[in-house]
Amino acid sequence: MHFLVYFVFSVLLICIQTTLLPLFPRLFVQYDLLIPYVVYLILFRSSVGMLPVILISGCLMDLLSGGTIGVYIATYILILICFRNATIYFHFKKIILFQIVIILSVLMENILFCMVISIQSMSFKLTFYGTSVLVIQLIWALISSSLLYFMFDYIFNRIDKLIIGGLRERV
Amino acid sequence: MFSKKTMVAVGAVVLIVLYIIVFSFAYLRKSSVGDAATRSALALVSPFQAVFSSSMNFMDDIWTHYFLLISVSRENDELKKKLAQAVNKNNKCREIEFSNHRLREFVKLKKQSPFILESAEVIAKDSSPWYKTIIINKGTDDGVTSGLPVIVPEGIVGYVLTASGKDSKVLLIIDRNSSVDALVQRTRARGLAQGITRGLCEFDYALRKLDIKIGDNVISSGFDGIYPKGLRIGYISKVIRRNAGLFQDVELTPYVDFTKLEEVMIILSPPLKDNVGD
Repeated sequence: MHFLVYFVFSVLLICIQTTLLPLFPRLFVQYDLLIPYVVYLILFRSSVGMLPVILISGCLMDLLSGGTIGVYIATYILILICFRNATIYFHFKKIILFQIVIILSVLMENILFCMVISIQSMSFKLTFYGTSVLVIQLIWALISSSLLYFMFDYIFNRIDKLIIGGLRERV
Repeated sequence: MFSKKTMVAVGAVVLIVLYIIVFSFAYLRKSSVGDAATRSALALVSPFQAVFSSSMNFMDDIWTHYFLLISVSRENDELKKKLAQAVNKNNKCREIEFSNHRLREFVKLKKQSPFILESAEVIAKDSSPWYKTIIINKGTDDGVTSGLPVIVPEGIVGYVLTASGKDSKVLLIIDRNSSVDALVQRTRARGLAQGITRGLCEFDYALRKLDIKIGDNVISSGFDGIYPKGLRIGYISKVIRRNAGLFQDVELTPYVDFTKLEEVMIILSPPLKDNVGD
């Protein structure tokens, strides 16, 4: 059941990211909404159903994007490996930990993209465009992360209650 | 001689006549007694009259400016609603007008083009700012296969990267993985229009000796096996000719505004070398 909810939510986010966000000016576009979602799942949700959803989401993003296949999935797996136990080692407030991990994840994703592009073109150029993309993404990560945290928390807690309520009724 | 009743009636008539005569004279002569009486009466009554009158005015004011305001407010609400509907309708009309204009251009292109064209709508864009692709709502079911060129009346958009049953992914010419074999229309200088992601292209491998100027029109050469010859790509926006080196650095600005893509055309028939830039 959790898997299904996570999966539907990830598809919803992908749809928003590919259809709704491109309608806004460039400043609003350049932010991978699945990163906060993946980070939220990794940090605060049970592992049941979380891993397959992360893999499927990464796969979907790779297939929909024009980039090299595997970049998104690699990013999400890297986030999973790096921050899976972050809650054990770092004792910040949940929301601050969420913000820090998102910023680091966005940084990781962009570094990975740059690496792939550099390998493909056999050259590395730090352009103004590339730097501006990174800076805008980081700023958006900082601004939107707390809002997204509250949103995810509210939605998933509600869903949890609904699922538990439904199960109780069955028992 | 006269009865008592008659006497009373006559007395009353005489009194009335006298009263009228006396007061008429008093009015004409402006007697001080009459004036004083009038002033006293006025002084006594007028404050009450003023209060009464002002309260009446107040009530009248309330009636006209408050109770009537309710109906005005309702009318205002109605008018606002109607205005919103009109604005909405106007917006729809404008949208239809724009869409009509775009589609007319498409129809014109379809009529003029020697190729079989299939129109499609852009349904999604790449989520990553590092890559430039779009997803269109036509796929293999409509005869779209990978490798087909995608255009709009302004020029080349890109080519179909992958096609599924109902949708296809199009690689835009501004993506860094895209390159189009191109010609400068004026001097026939040949080069490669290569995407550089930030909405522009580079005109690579243009020899230093070739005559390329800012504003020159760049078209597809047809040698890459994807794009037919003569399709507009963009114009030269920057030329840097260094003292050393084989090639010059040329920047190419595409004619197509990729941020505003809504409908595109897919060239279904294969590139025909005979339709040279005509």
